[in-house]
Amino acid sequence: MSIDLSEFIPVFLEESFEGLDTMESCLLELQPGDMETINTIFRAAHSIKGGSGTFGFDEVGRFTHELETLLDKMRNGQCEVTPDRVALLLSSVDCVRSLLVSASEGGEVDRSQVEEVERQLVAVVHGDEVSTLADSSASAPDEGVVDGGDGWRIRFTPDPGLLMSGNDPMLLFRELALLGPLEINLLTDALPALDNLDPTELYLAWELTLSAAVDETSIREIFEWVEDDCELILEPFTAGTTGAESGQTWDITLRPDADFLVTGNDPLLLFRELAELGALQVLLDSENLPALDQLDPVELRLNWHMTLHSACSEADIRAVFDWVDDQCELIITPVGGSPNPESAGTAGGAQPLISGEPISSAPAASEATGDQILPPSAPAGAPKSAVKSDTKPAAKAPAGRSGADSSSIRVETGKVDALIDRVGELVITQAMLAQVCEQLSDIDHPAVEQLLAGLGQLERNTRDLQEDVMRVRMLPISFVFNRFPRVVHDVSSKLGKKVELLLKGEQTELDKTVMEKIGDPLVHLVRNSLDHGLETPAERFSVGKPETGQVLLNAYHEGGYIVIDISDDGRGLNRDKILGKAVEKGLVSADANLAPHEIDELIFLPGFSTADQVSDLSGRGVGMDVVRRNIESLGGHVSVHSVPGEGSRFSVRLPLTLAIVDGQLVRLGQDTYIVPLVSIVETIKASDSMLTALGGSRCLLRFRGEYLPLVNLRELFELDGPPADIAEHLIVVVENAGQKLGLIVDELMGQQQAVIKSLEVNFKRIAGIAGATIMGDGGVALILDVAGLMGVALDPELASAARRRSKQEGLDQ
Amino acid sequence: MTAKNLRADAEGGQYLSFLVDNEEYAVDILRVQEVRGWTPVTRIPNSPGYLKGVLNLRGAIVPVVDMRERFGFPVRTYDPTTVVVVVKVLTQDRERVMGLVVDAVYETYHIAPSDIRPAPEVGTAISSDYIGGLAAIEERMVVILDIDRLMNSRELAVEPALVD
Repeated sequence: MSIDLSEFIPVFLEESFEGLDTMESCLLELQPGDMETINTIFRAAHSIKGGSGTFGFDEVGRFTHELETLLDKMRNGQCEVTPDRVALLLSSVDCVRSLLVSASEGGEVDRSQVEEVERQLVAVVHGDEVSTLADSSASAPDEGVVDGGDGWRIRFTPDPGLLMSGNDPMLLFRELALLGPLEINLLTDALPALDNLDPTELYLAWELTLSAAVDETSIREIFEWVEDDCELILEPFTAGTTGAESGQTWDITLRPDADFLVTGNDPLLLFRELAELGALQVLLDSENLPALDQLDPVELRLNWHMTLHSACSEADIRAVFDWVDDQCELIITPVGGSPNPESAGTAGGAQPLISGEPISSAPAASEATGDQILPPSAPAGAPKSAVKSDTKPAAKAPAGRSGADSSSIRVETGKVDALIDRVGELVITQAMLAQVCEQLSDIDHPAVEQLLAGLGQLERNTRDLQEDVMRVRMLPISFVFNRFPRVVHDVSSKLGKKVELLLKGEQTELDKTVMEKIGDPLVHLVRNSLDHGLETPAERFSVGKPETGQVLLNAYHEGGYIVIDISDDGRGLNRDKILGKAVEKGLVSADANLAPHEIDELIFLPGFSTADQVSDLSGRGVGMDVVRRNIESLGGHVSVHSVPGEGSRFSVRLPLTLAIVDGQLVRLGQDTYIVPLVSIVETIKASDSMLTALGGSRCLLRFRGEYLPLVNLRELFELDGPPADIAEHLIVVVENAGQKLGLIVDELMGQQQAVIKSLEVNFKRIAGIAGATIMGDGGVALILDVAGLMGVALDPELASAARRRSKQEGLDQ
Repeated sequence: MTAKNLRADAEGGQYLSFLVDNEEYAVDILRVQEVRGWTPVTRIPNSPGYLKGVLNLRGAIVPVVDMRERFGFPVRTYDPTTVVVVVKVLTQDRERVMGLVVDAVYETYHIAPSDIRPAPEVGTAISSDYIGGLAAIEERMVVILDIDRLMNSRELAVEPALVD
């Protein structure tokens, strides 16, 4: 039997990369003891490992296995969460990512780095962690490291459905026994009464003691096929001592209300869940059981005392009882600091459980003991409400998180684009109907009135529909912002600076296509702020600022644009240095008299870099000009505002979408063209006094103290019609990358939003044309690409003549 | 349609024929997406005369080529029978949709491969490069076009990505 799995590989990769992102962001906010976050990270790693195995990415699987083992240890509390280990996990995430990329797209992986990280992972997992990550003296992974001490205690709790999937625990045990002497204890706690027993389900659990010094991996390998269908807890032990060092013993008393069962609750299910947290012993307290003739079979008269040995927190235990907490009395008390070896180890029968306290005590007695050991927040015989309010916050938080996950679906962008096309057609059809109806409006007939009203409604609905559909492509900018905690974490530790990153307006939405392209420029700006903007802690201290610098990313909407501010509270731009550098590089003349903000703008010039030392962070001389160019190619704009000593702020302004452009409609002969509004500086009506003839039909336009080359679009596009009398014509002044150009058009028409459609789909790229759009009447209008147009239309001679003249003019004044 | 044309033939395929300057041309009917009446199109700057412009085909921007002008026949003003045959053209690794302006749509034929003769080197109004073959149908000669080659020639070709 062979199934072609290859078609699922892209889905696996996409999910894996998402999982890695999740791991990364969770790691960055991971606090010691935050079980929910560790679990999230673990789950992500686990599914990557599982998928890698299935799809044959063995290297990824092997590496992720080590990663998962460490996470599992953290989850079980066997391994503490330290900053060093978090950093190691972060580099592991990077390794997995590069391994996945190379496995899917080919390309080289930095083997030595992967091996180094893997070695460190193994070292940490096996407890002989070295203090610094860079230390390469740690033992190699395959040195026969035995971390099992003298053996392993294995608690194997299969899911009830394990047998249905064809697995057989006996086979597993037989394999385990090959590793060494194996002692098997059957746990029947979960076994239901005979009449409730479903013969196809497995209610059993096992506690195995393997007295062999093997490593954890070889045991996990045996359980590899069933690990999703069971709870597997591995604990090493050494002869003489038993039990894990961490973890704690909890004493739990459950006194359900009499109507507990009536609402469908089942204590056995609760116990099973508790048993998943750790080693659980349950004792039944039947003290309250009435005589048989008084017994109401629907009422529950039993109480339970449980002893749980687990690394979990009280909140975890309370979470198990979340659903029943208002129907029972729940008392949870930690017992001593040191775990009871017996309760952690073998299911050791009926020894006294905790410090000699009688377990099956009368209700009065148990209340009395409760008085002594209960934490002050939940006094003995406590009103249920007190317990309840304690429980809620802990249990609700994770529920909220998972709710957010399930409320989105994954859709191919092609489907959304098709939907947008469809809606566009609907809008055109609606416009056509409206035109037809206008002609009918003179007819005096009640049906016409109804028709008009109906069409008005149709228009509103189609407009709403169009807006909604466009919004489907919009995503919150948090998708981009999410990578910055990692960037700041890495860069600041490399630079030895203390940085606090603040994110604002993460829910601000913008188009997916813009989002994909804005990430790199933003990273560059943030790195720039960290590298150049913020001072070292010592410098900050000396000028009386807090040692920790702040970088703020703020996103907000402003009139059809999204603005992203990157501000820092660092030293601000050093204008003397910038000016000096610009003069040195010949970018400005030494006697230029520039306003402060003009000096600031110099950093966006090509080839400008003020870094004294070229670092690998920024300052490679391909800095700000590339950022500006990338942003402008998206139809956006970047500016800087700086106050010396107080910090600087870069503002990136971007259109919300690349799919729609705000355009000025212009007429050339018979045809309508659209000039993107972002490129337009001004539209003017030319008069003779503003024009300077240069021979031939070439002309310069004097515009606000400078000379601009003029281009007759009708001529350029070889459109017919009488030769344009420039003096009478309208001129649209456009700008791109600092170069201005005057475009002669026949008529200015309205402004409108246009959905950009590519000409390349069915034809090819045309220089000077960005694409086409469909107008309200169903016709097609071409959208000008100002940057491309400059390439085609701008005569270098004309441009240099314009510059020469502008300069002359400047000197004359 | 004649009985001969209707007879199901295990081999060969259906062709749609159209008239350009009283000559009959045919294309594989599986390549024809639709036939629509002439509607004004939007001109493309700096393009050859035979490329009439682009039109909106249910949201898609489709270039339209006048077959008379492409083949160098005398220009004729468009009238109610002037139609645009919308065809799918294979270009490199993708499929483009393009429109052909023709005088009129004429007939559909079933032509067996054995009935198609190779194009002669000379003797037709258009370059033999664009002719997939000739078929004689009831004393008439039908030119079967190779639209992939025709619609990827000259200015219609998609330049290599490197040429800017």
